[in-house]
Amino acid sequence: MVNSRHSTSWTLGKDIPTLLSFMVLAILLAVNAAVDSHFFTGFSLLTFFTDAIPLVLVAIGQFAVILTGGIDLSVGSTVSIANTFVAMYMVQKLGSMVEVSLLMILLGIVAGMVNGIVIHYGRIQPILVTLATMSIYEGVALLILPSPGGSVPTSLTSALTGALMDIPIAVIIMAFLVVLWFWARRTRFVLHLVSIGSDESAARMNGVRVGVIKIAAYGLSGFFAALSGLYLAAQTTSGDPNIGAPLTLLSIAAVVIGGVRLSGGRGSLLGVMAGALILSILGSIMYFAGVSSYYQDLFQGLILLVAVAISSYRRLRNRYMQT
Amino acid sequence: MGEMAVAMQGIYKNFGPVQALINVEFHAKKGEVHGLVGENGAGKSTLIKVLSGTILPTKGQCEVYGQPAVLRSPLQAQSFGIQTVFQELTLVPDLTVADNVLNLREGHHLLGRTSSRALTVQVEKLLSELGVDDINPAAFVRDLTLPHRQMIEIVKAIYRKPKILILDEATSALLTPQVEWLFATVRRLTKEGSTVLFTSHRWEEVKTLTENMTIFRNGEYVGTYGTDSISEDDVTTLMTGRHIGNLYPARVAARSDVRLVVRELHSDVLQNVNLTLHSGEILGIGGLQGQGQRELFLSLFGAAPARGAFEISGRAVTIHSPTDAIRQGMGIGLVPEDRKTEGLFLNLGVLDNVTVPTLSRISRWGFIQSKQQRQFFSTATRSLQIKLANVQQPVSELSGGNQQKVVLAKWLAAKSQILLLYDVTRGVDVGTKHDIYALMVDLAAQGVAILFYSSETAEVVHLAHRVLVMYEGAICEEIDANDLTVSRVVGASFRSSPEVLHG
Repeated sequence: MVNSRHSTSWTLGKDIPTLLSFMVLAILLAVNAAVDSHFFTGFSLLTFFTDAIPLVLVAIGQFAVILTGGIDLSVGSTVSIANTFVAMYMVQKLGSMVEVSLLMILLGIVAGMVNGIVIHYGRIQPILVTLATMSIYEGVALLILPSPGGSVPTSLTSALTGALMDIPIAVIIMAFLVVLWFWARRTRFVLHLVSIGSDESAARMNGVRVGVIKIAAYGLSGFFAALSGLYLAAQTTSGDPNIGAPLTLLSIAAVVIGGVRLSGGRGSLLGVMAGALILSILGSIMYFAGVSSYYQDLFQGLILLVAVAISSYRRLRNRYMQT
Repeated sequence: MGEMAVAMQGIYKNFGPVQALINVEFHAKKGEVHGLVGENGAGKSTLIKVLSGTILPTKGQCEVYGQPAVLRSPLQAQSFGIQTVFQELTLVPDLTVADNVLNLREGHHLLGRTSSRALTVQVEKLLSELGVDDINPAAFVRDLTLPHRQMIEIVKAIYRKPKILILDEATSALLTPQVEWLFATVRRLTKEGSTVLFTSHRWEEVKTLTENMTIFRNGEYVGTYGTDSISEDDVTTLMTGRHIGNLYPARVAARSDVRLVVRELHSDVLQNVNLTLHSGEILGIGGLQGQGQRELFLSLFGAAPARGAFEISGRAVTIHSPTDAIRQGMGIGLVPEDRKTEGLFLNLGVLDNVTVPTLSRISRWGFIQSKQQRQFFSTATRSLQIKLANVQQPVSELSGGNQQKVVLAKWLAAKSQILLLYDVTRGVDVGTKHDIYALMVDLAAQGVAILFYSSETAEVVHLAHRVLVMYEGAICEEIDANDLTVSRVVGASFRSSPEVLHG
């Protein structure tokens, strides 16, 4: 009896929002396979996952922030900073590659933590703070590299976008992220993120150091944005100060489509990854179906609307069933 | 004379110009259950916050087991063995029971992991040791009922083996069997040498559980008394500083003309509710908590979906939204359960709050006529004696009792002829209760029809002309004036409950 009652905790059994996002992903994958007969051959799959990685990374950072009930509008600009920084300063030497990568990651973490610090100590709403830093960081990216250009070492490109023993590096990265999540989800840090988003004052009463955790969440968001910028640089082999801009809203959309509660306290990284893949696959489907890519934004918006409608329908129904 | 667990002396606490504690002393012996008694705002909650480390006193000495204690944070209080169960719950809704009880506070490493399975087993064991067998440790707190959440809050405190356990209105959300569970647990703890400090707004509980009690009034210490050596009357007098002889004003006979008729009201919760409300009548709604009373009140105000037929003064009407209910000619006013979220705009001034429902009557071309607004305001508040600095004062700065008067004033300004009063005296001190009772009887005498629910059955019994007892969304019994006693109403609330029938 004891076991049957406690079996839900680490399976997806009852996590309906996450399951829903996986169902949608499965349907879209099927559709994609239908329009592109070569989809399950190596190259298409490689391209699909490689193209999806930058959004997956940014969405994970966004997820950490949204779990606490916050939001980070500056992620796109942080992506651009990292991207231009790499294109500007990295040269074809191992030393430089390590150095610049570390510096870039540090830059991303600092950019994120600045958000967290201003939000926490200034007691300003996250949406306002990150709206301001979005502009500021965009300006920084433009200062580093005013127009698209620069260059990226070819070995970086092949290391990040290639394949290892026929397995795309992108897939290995995603597998690693999944494993990381299964480890991290029972850490005290993630529990604290959840508690803050669930009920901040209750979290405080339970000894959660709300300020520290929030700043860490925004720092994490900056960290993942920087990784995303690095990956984009490897992918496009150059830098672009505007490359991150679309990722801000897409990352929020991915989190929501992944079944995460926008007000915080509830969600799974698996759902977020599914959300990011759903948004990425639309482009692929439209390309193979011969639909103009101008429709991509439109369809992404529709998917988001459907996701929000599903979650709000479930919430409303639950409310009526309770009262 | 046993060892002192808590000794506090000369405690002052100021919040700006307000003195919440004035030269308060407090002593509790090791191993006793000690009651803190006083009206709202008397200082007991403030004293508890001082002792649990959530606020720092302006000055004063505090000793815990003979050790001088300056309690700057809850953590520091806990290091002295003090655990507090607050009136406001501190559980995280989106974590499981097990995570809330054990995981959230233990340990320091942010990257430390705990297996949820091991934790669940551990908490399951703890719960069964404490005799709690109906709560699943793997359940999310958000899915628990309020009484169960309250129990988990208590379990969480007990788990940490407190030397001093503070229960601040911890029974307010508990049902009778759970209160008995708590009392048994408390007695066991004190036998093991813990000290328990206890507050409750139910006198019976204080009387049953405590050995001694300390009475507070207006932030001052009144005295410490043995529970067996003092009567309820004396306590009330000491608490209020005046003798409240007749708490309830005499009823005035209702009139014969029918104001409101409700026929076959159905909703997710309500089942075929029929009622007739006469002008000048105070119609009481009774029953255990959560039997659909709240939904009934909200439905009559158009704030909850329901199907049914309404007649006001003989005319068939529809009520689909609060806008319908407030409209002139309908004249329905609701004092809702939660005045802070449903009844008031806390950041707005008193004047604006009072005149919100009547804005259309005092404005021309969409602009508010401030002269008329003030006129409406002064007529509405004349009989209420709201204590305020000026009419622009934000409602958030008023005391609970005065806030509730502002909610009432809204409907007086609107000249509502049908008042729905849902637990209007909740969280209000005895003095203000007195004023509200008098106002209700006065309004009824003027012909206003009042539907009245209260979580204190005695109020319903003493003020209402008739009482309708609700059970599972339906009206199960009507009790008229000749038959109206507390035990009759409580009996009717329970008699319909099958568990009690068998028990």
